[in-house]
Amino acid sequence: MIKLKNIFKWVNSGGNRVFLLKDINLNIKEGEFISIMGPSGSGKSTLLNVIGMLDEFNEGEYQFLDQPVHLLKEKQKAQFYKTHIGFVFQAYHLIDELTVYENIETPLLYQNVKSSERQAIVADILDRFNIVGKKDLFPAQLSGGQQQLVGVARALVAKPKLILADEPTGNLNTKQGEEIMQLFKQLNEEDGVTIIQATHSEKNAAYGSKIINLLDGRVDK
Amino acid sequence: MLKSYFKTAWRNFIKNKLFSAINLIGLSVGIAAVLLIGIYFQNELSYDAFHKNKDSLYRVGFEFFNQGKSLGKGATYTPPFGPAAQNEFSEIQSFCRISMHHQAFMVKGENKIKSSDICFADSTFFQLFSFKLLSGNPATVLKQPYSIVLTTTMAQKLFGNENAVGKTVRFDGKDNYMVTGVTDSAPLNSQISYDALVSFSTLYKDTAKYFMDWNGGEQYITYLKINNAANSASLEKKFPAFLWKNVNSRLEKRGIKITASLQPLQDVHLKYDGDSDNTRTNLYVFGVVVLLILIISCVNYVNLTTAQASSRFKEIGVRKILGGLRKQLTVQFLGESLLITSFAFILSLLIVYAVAPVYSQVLGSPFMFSEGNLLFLILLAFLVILSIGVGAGSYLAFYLSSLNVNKTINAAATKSKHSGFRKGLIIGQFAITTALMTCTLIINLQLQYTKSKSLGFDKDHIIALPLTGDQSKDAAFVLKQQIERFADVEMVSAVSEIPHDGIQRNGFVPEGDTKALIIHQLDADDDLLKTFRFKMLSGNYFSKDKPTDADGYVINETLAKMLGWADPIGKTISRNGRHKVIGVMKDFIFSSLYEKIGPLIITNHPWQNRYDYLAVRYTSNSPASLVSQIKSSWQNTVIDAPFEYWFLDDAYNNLYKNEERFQRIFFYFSMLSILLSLAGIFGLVTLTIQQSTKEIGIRKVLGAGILDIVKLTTRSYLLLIVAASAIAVPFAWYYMNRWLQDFEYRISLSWWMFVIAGIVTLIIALTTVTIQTLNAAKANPVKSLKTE
Repeated sequence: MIKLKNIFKWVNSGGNRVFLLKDINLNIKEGEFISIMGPSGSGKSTLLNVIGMLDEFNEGEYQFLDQPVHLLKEKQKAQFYKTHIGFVFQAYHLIDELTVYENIETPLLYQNVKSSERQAIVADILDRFNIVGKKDLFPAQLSGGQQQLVGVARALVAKPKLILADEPTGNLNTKQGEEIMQLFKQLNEEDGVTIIQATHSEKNAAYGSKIINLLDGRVDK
Repeated sequence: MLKSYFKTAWRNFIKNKLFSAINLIGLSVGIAAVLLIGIYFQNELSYDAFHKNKDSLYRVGFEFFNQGKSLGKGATYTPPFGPAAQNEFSEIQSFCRISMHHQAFMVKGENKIKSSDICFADSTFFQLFSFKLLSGNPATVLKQPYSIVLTTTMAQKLFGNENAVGKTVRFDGKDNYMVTGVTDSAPLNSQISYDALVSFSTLYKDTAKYFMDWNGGEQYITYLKINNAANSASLEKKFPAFLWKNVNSRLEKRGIKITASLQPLQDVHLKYDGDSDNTRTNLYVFGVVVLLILIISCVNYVNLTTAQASSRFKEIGVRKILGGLRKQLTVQFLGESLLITSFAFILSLLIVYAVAPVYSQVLGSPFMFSEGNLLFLILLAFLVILSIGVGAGSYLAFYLSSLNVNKTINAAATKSKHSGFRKGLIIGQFAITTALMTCTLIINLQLQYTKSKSLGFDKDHIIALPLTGDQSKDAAFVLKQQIERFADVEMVSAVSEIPHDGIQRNGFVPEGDTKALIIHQLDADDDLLKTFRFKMLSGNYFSKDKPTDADGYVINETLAKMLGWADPIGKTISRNGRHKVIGVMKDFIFSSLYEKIGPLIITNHPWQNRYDYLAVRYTSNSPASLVSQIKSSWQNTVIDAPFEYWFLDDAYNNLYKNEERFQRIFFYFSMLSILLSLAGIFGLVTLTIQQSTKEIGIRKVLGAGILDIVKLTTRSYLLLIVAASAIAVPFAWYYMNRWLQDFEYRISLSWWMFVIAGIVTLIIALTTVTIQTLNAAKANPVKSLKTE
């Protein structure tokens, strides 16, 4: 599903080139659950952003679902990732002015899904995650774990093939973190969603089927 | 989709109540100002536009010359001009003469009214002009002598609910006039106004009172209807010959000449009226000031919104990740901008509605809504909303929607720096405010100076009694004696004119000269000096004790200097005989401060031995009872002229009502712009400080004291305001200089006038900043340094 070949990414800082990603080669098949591990500054988030088409790379090839992503224009990329990829962030990044219901609904709005369909889909997801009672609350009224739950629900609402999670449990306590990881495992095993997570924690990484180690922007074998 | 945008916009609005309020109110005020001025403009520019015949109607303007020098222009002249012109020129289809406003009493049974706005008008009045006649036949209402057309208000007052047409009214206690019609009052934007119209033919009936030939009273305005506007220029060229035949050939030997010109009806208000220069200046000034206010409002809006933008970075990033395209985000923010502007518009309508009654006072003239205004208003507002909402909003929309997702998501709480653009806006805003303040100050100073400038005599406590008509003139001395006996009266003098708004001029030949000079001439009796408290520099004033002096002249300082006479006493000046100069009077100001004091001769012999005014100096502070005493004296002695009086100090103050209006306008608008600018700064400061809480926290941890923090924030604003003042000074100086040129007696501009506004602005702004900063600086750094 995802093929990364000789991906390089650098920034120029005062005449020197600082590499964020060096010669990344990855092959990820559908249905896998990958954990990317590494110390801070190793490029985990950068890699995730590149995979998610949120960021550009300077050299190399990237094929997503057999489409050469590097050749796609801005608009096409947006179209691509919004239909196929869902993001979960460490800091949840919910929109504070919208209720839980509206937060989850937003991706559907941007895909021009009809009103009645939207209602059905969102209702479904609220049900599945057991947060129906909270649908009219604002993020400020929820705990960290609940907010992350909403974040995951939002990532799933457009039925993506791939979920990219950047330290999803970083701001949660142990119990909440476990719940989220269990959820991921369930999604991966039962719904066949491909999951790539970036994480510090060995425990979290163990949930996945494969671990990729990054060090200073390079895959470390 | 739209619903979601609306929800977000609304909730954002509520979340930042303070800033939203400042934004909203600031915008509404700006828009309201534009709307108010818009209506004023529309009213002024649409004067007399309602007449159907407007393209073929002209007013005749006259200019009077003595010895080749112009004595002034005006539109009032003697009655024969109209009919004679129509006779002579085929281009003139018809004419209508309207007299100047007359005062009269009207009585019907128990109902009595006095009106000062009665006009005599030719029978063609309702055919030439489009005033609405509600009852009566427009062709005949003003035909017969002693016919009167009342306005609905007058008719109501005299006849109640009865039909007034066909009934009679006792006019001025003398004759019965027949009410032939009822008409609407003239609209506000009309140069012709009236409480009632009397048929012009009536004037020819009273030959004792009204002089209707070429030599007669110059109290009639002549309007002409020309067959084709294209002929007006050629018609005008025929006037000199026409006037020579009828007027100028007779007057030539006295050195007097009259010229006539055609003034298109619609141009009269803005070009040919006595007020016209002022009206045009006001329009210009108004336009500029309101534009400035609008600019300040917009600047506030843009500034506050962009400063707040950083708080929406996260939202924008998330929306993009969730699939939002740049176009969609642009639409979202543009929509928000339009939403706020629309709210502001609605609020502004309320403001306009609330302010309208007070607005008349500020303008110094009545101000009313009409249906024409409403349409114009809506159009104007639409334009304004579109340009602000779209213009100011698009900056924000494009800026925000173009941001890189990565940067925005993690830059949740970055401080929005004072970008160059924003600094520029603030400087501009404060420059405008400072300039307005400076101008207000200078205008104030000049007006105070004007009013307090010593006139050279005592204008307070003088009542002027016009002696209109032969009977009152003949009774002048009888009246004077009666009035002198009243308790509160100090002195009474009979004069040809009350000096305040200029004195008429005549030609005199001074000793040693062969040509006549134009000099002001005032005729007065022996009591003038004491009544007005004039001062003599040398020689004597007229006195009963020296009857030989009665033929002499008293001249003023300026005339003595003009003639180069170091010792004028004994020298002669000729006009209808030689007259010796018996004394030199200290200069006094007898017209407005716009002009230099002119040369003046005072004589003891009035024209035809009749004076035109009595001047009464009184002692008490509440002259009401004195006035009624004088009134009964008058009414016992004079029958055919109504009792009139005015106070000299009022008349002087009235001379400056235009300047006062100017001053008022500037004052209010300065206040407005100051408030707006301060609101803007307040909002901006609060915002930036909110966003710098982290930085302030860090600095405190590193050892900064509260004072250091305050110094930090205030320093940036200090520089901005100083720069703003520097820009404001040359503009203010230039315009104030130009305005002051109109005044002959004026204050001189000095540096402190320009600096003071800047200092005041600085103090106010810095106080605001300091208070806000102190609040933030007191916060516990631990709290502000916690990460999300």
